[in-house]
Order: sequence, then structure tokens, then C-alpha cells
Amino acid sequence: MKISGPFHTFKLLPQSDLGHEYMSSLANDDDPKLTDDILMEIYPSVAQIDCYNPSTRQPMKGINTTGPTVIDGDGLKTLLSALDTLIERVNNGPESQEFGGESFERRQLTEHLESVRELVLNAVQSGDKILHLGV
Amino acid sequence: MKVILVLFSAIFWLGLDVPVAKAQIVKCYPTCSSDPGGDPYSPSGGDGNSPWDPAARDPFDQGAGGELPNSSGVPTIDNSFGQVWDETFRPIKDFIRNNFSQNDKKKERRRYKESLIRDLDNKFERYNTIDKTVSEALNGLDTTQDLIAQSELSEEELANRLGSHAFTDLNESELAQFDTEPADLPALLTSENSAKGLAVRQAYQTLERRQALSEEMQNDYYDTYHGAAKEALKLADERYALGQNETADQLMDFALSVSESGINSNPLTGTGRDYYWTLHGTDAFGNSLSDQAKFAALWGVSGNLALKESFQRVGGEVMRQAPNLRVIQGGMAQVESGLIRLGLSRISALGVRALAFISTRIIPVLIALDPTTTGHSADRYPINGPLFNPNDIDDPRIALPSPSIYDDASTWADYLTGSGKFSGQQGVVDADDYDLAKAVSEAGIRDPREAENLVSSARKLGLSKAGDVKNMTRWNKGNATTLEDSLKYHHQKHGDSRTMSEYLSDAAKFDKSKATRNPTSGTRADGSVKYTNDKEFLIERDGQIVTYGPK
Repeated sequence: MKISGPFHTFKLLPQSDLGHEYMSSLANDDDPKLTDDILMEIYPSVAQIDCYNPSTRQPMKGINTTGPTVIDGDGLKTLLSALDTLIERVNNGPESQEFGGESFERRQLTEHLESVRELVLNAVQSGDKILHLGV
Repeated sequence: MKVILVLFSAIFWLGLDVPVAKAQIVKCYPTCSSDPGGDPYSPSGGDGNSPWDPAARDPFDQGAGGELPNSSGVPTIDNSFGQVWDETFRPIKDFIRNNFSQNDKKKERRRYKESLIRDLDNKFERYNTIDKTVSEALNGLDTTQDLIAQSELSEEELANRLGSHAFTDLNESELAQFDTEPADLPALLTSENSAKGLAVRQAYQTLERRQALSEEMQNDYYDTYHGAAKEALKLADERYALGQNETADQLMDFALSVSESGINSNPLTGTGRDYYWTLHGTDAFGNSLSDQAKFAALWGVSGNLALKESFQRVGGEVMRQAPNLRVIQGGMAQVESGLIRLGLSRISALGVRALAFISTRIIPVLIALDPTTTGHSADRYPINGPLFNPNDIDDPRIALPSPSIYDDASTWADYLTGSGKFSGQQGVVDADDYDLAKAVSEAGIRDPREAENLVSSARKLGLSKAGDVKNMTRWNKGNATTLEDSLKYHHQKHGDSRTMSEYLSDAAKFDKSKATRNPTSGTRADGSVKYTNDKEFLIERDGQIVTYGPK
């Protein structure tokens, strides 16, 4: 079963990039993505992290679920931790799991989450940033 | 007419007898209000059903009707204006929200209510700044009050003074003398051709009229206030000339507030007396007051007419007082300036909840009595009067009173574009965009600034159809800087090959009644609600669309 959207997409940003050119990244289908129902599972964990809004060019608290957000530093570590926790929960759960009223197969979910986790882990280790594009 | 209203207002404030048709003398507020038993608006007199009945609906009432709010156990406050605001105005804001959400089903009024609440939040920031600017001057006012308290007037002299007011008989020709402009204005630095320069000159005229009025009323107390007000206005003129408009605006506010204090805050008569009695617990000579007198004074200050529909007679014509949003908006501005001019120490002494109690009642009364402020004589308009006056908008392109909230979209489009019977003003929307202005009005947008922004965004997005603008008004900009930015983002992400117009139209066509709501009640963790069908999704926040697209 194909996972349906809407999707949040994630893109690696170099340290010096503030993400102001976020509009040009919107159409890229190759970036890792999370379906909105899954992101809402981890949202409480990232609702208070320090972020940057490239639209307003101002710092903000918590990720922007319907627009762009640049995440770095401790915020990225919190995001990684939230993803790890959810992956562990999915792996220990039943074959079919429900999020936001939608049913997902466990294997599908794990793959879906792992692609984003890998990108975030990469950013944490390299000191880069993540550009998150909300639904 | 304006001057007549000013004088009527002052007469009201000063507790004088009000002449109505054919110079007949009728005893009126606050004489009535100081007698709880005889007051038709006293707590026991309310029917308990009207949302404006203070006895039934007041969220601050601390006991059965007729009891003085007890300040014992009420938290005292320091001199933080922010705290004063929070503890006094938040409940009022909630009160507005609760009552209007119940009573006003119309979309445009709900929107207006929300904008009112946003406006209150903005004012909070603004008055924090003003508070710092005027704190020193307030100390001067305290000194003035002390001087008044030490007045050597005997009770007999006071009675004589009151007596001379009690039977003042005025007619229209006498009132008209206050309509004369001052013969000479001081040398001002601002240009008389600039909007701010004009405002300074008008303010000077207001001060001069008030001084003339106070002389007529034998209100000796005005002189001190008048001097302070003129000094502030002089500084405002200098600041405007230097281009420091923000500081100058504050000084101008202060000048007019101080002047109002001089007119309104005479501690010996009328509402000024009730204020003094309520705040000090004694009369201006230090004599103690009975509980009944305190309560009567409190009701006098509160304004027994407040939050209750009533009728007023102006120039022989009976007008209906409609306790509408606009009245409250103007009243809020008045109460705010009242807080400032009373001085924070006084507020502390009174007790926060008691002040809140007063504030809920004082709103329409204050606004009724001061036709120079935001709610220009709002309670004396027929209920279908203008929703905004030019002063409310503070934009030189708006020079005429607006249509009423009940007028149709074409009339509002005329107002926004300076067309038809509003051709006497420039308007905030280009006449070429008349259809867009009408569409904005049809969508329930009344605030000219909001209308201007929407039309401007539509233009930048290449939208020219009225339907497009109407569809835009259904969207919320979320965390983006502008609605335009937000729409560009979502259109680029989900629009596929559709034009912006088609994308907005499709979003508007999304049938929520046939979609699955997530969550089934309440909101998701980020405050949003998601609707999905087989092919599409739509996410809302605060009842407005934040994103839409294919799944």
C-alpha cells in the first residue's frame, strides 16, 4: 500500500545557508519525506525547539507544520531523538499500525521513518542544518 | 454640532442638569446614579436577561447586587502597567469574546470581534510605552489632586458652587459660542499643510474650547491641566517637526488625556466626584463616607447606563443607544487613557478587581461623554451609524465616516475606493480595483487597512477577479510574513499545473461535509484540523485554510 500525503519534506542545508531560497526546494520529489500523520506523532517533541523561519527571517519556537523551518544544533538532536523513539515504537508494534486515522504496514513505516532519520543523523554528525518544508 | 456634543458631554460629566427640548431642566446622571434606590439601572432593577444587564452578566460581580466590591483579599499590584492590563483587561477581553460569540452569528461581526481583540493586544504594547513617557507628568497630576484635596472651600461654598451649576440654562446660541476657533494659534513648527500639523492645530483648538468651557462652568481646576496639556502639545509639535512621529503621537495622546482630566475629573461634582470618592474612600475634603455613599459613587463611576441599551435625547430627537462593538472599542481606548491619567498608584489603591468591575460599566458612558475620541458619540448615533470615523483609521486617505456595518458591499466599496457618495475622500483602494474592493467587502472585511492589504496581495499574485479575492479571504497566512507569501508557498507545493486562481477556487470548492475530519473533535497538536477525502486534503487553523492540495 502506498503511503499517501500530504508530506513534509526534509533537505540538508550547509551550515552557512539560512534557507532563504526555500521556494526552489519545494518541487523536489527526491528529498526524504514524512507523511503528515506521522509527523504529528513526533510534533509534541519538537513543538518547543529553537528554530529559524526563513519566510519571516526570524527565530521561532517549534517547527512550522505548514511552512518552512530551518533546524540545527540542539533542535536537530531533539528531532533525531523523537524519530528514534517512534521507530522503536513502530518496530515493537503490530504488523498494521494506525496514525491519524490511516493504517500503515510496519515495514513501510520503518522505511519511511528511516530515510528521514538518516538525513537528520547526517546533519547532526556533520554540523549541517535541515530545511523542513511543512505541508 | 460637535461642539454641542462636547458641551453636553461636559455637562453630563460635571453632574449638571441637562437641558433638553425647550430648555427644560431635567435631573440626570450622575445625580440619579448616586441614589441606588432610585436608579432604574441599579442591580436590583435589571431583568437579568439582557446581555448588557450588569447585574446579570458582569463577570466581576463579587456578591449580590448592591454590594460594594470588596477589595479585601484582592491581590494588590505593583506599578507594572503590564500587570494592570493583564488583570483588568484580560477579563474584559474574555467578556467580549464570550458574549459576542454567543450573540453575533454573522461572520463579519465575528471577524470584527477578533480584530477588536487583536487591537487590544496591540494597544497593550503601545500603552506600555506611553506609560513610561508620561509617568513623570502623572506625578504632577497627583500633586494637583493633593492641592484639590486641600482646597479651602467650605461646604457652604461647595453647595453654592453646585447650586450655580444645577440650574444652568443653556440654549443652542450660547452653545455655539464654543464653536468659534481660537483667534490665534501659537507659532508652531509643523506645517499647517501636513496631516500631523493639522492634527496639532485641531488639538490646540480642542484645548482652547475646553478652557472656554471650563471657565463657563467655573471649573477652576482645569487651568493646571490645561497648562500641562499645552506643554505636551508644544512638545508634540516639535517632535512631529523632527519626524519623531511615534513620540509625538504619545505626547499628543497625553495632551488630550490631560485636558480631558481637567474637564472630567473635577472631584467635587459629577463623575469626577464619584471617581474621587471611589478611589479615596473620602470626599475631597477628607470626610469619611458611608458604605452606601461609596457604593453610590462606585455606581456613578461605573456608569449605570453601561452595557445596557438605553435611549438618549439629543436636540429633541430620541436616539437609541446600541451597545455595539464599536462602542466597546472606543470605550476601551477611553478606559486605557483613564488608567493612565488616574495614575498607577490610584489603581493599586482601588484594587484590581474593583477596577475591572468599574471598567465593564464605564465603557459606553465614557465614550458617550467624550465625542472627541475613537467612539465619537457612538451612543448618540442611530444604531445604523458609521462603523468607523476617520479618527479610528488615522489615514489621510480616509476623511469621511464609514458606512454602517449593515450597509451593502457596494456602499463599502465606494468607501474603500473614494467613489460615489464617498468621492470626498481618496480611499485606500485604487478606483480601478472597485470590483476587488467590493469582493473584499462581500467577504465581510470592513477594516480599510485589511481591505487594502488583501487587494494589494491579490494584485501581486496576479489575481484580478472578485471571486479570487473572496477565495483569498478564506486563507490564513499561518507563520508566513504575508498571506501572499503563504499562498505562493502552498501553490508551488501543491498547485501542480493550476494557476493561482484555479488553485484558490479548488480549495474553496473542497467539501468538508464529505471529508474525514482529523481529529473528530478539537484540534491536532499544532492547533490545526485536517480534512481528507479520497483525493485531496485541506488543513484549517482558526477556521481558515492554511494549506490544501492532493494527497
